[in-house]
Amino acid sequence: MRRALTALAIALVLAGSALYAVERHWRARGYTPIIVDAPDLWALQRAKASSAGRAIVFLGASRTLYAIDRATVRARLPGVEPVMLAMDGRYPLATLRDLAGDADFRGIVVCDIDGAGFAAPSLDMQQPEVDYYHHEFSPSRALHRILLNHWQRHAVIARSDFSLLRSAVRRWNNEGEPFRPQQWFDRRRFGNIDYEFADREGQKRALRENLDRHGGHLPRVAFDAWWPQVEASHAWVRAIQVRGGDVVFYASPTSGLRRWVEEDWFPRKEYWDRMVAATPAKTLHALDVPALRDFPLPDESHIDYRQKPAYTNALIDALLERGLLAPGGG
Amino acid sequence: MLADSVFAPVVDPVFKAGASVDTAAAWTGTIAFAGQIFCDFAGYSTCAIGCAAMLGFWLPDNFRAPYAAVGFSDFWRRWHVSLSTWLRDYLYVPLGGNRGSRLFTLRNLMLTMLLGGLWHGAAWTFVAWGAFHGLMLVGERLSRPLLERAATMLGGFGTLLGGLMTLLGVLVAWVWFRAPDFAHAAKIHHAMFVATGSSAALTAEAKIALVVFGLLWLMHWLLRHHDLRRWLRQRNALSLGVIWAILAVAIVLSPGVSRAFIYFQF
Repeated sequence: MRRALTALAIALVLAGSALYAVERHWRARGYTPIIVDAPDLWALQRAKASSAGRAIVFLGASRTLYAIDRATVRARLPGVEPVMLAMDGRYPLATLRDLAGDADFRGIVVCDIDGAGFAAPSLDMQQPEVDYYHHEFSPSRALHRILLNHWQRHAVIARSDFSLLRSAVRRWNNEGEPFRPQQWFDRRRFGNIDYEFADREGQKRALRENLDRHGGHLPRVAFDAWWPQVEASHAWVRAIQVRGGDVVFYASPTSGLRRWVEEDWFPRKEYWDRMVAATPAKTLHALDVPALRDFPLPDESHIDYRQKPAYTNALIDALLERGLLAPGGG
Repeated sequence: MLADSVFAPVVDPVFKAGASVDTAAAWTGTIAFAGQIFCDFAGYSTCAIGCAAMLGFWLPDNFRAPYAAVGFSDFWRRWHVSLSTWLRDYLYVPLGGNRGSRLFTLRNLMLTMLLGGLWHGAAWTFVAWGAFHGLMLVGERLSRPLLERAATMLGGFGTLLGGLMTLLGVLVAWVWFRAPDFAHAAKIHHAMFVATGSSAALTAEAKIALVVFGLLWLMHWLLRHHDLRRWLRQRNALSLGVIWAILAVAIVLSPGVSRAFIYFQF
């Protein structure tokens, strides 16, 4: 017993010292701890959407994921719990469908979606995470993720880029120092992008290349192939409304070439406006709100993290002024 | 840690249904799977043994340096000992074991391994895996006098050669165990034994997986005649503390994807 306790003490001292030295090494090179998004983090928030009582759930893709400031929502809408379920690069209808089928969900959904979001290929984009939540996420995974959040918040070495294996691969390939991400999350999954360092031109370049491939116009989706998803969403919206919740379909701001492409691809009059006329949901289009329409977008569709409070305030102002949200959010 | 971080990323692309596989990828994927399934299963078994020990129960080892086995009967004394013991006691012996003619014994061996394969899942690939092991056991039993004579002649080199031949057979069999279907298993076997030319250089991850498997094999070979528990009991507090510290640092510095325990499905 004494031998084991002595060995344990030696192991703790040695391991603690070694890990502290590694942590100091990376911090000295300018790395800071960040929380990394993962299916478990999404599932943890998805569970909160059901258990929080009155929640305001933000659905969408990266434009919402990196745009909403949680503290501002809390301050402006004290009656609701903000929950972030948007996903980078994936449209949100699958999650909306899931919330509609959840008898415990009675909250408000702000669903950031555009014409392409209702197209058939977009319908199941978030379904893998929904399936993960229902079939694989468990109390032990939840506990694991809560502990991991704490670890990632405080330790640079919690990130997989600093693992022994990644370090060995970098050394083998002469790759240099680990990647310095310009995106990070808080423990409740509200994301941030720092456009002082992030590639402002990358998105625009990709869009231009995509346009070039298609002769200057992205291929139109026939209205008849687009409309069934809109009709399907009616039932999901009503299911949430019947339980006392609500849904706001929200087209977030874009600028420059991105705005031109979206209008060219899914002209507002032919798609969005017809959806607005038929849906039982409330709707908001950023082009109708000067403060949102003219908001600075470094890459024509995303918000720099320093601008999140201002953007969130502008969005909440628009929702409240148009009666799309009750004062206080309740 | 090793199963999920080092081996699985090399295994999954090779065994994905429909994946195209060249010779280098077939071998690295198969070797990596041998590492993955051992580290995965032996790791969980050790956790269970440790948990039981904390409650005052001493469970037997489930793995005894299996990749250092010399011969397939030796392999099954070292791999998944709880299953192989169960198969022996509840299938092989009730079927008659070796209490009959030679043909009768060989039949019992084949039946036991076929059912042992089927125990892993209702798929023909598992039956093929069991059949392959059964055939190897039968072949070993039939050629035992020859093998014994060769071992006496070759000495230590013969043992090493026997160990490598056994490992080769075990690797070939793992392809059936991991492949999603017969066609893909056949494709990997073809790539393993008919040089297809390498379409792409091995990635650093694949090379690291091979190095780690090499170290794992070396460790098995060194521990071939030793009991790890007894060896650890003989260490003093300082060396034990250093070993634990190295393991703790390696675990903390291995964050990443957590994959499901392979044997959960069985």
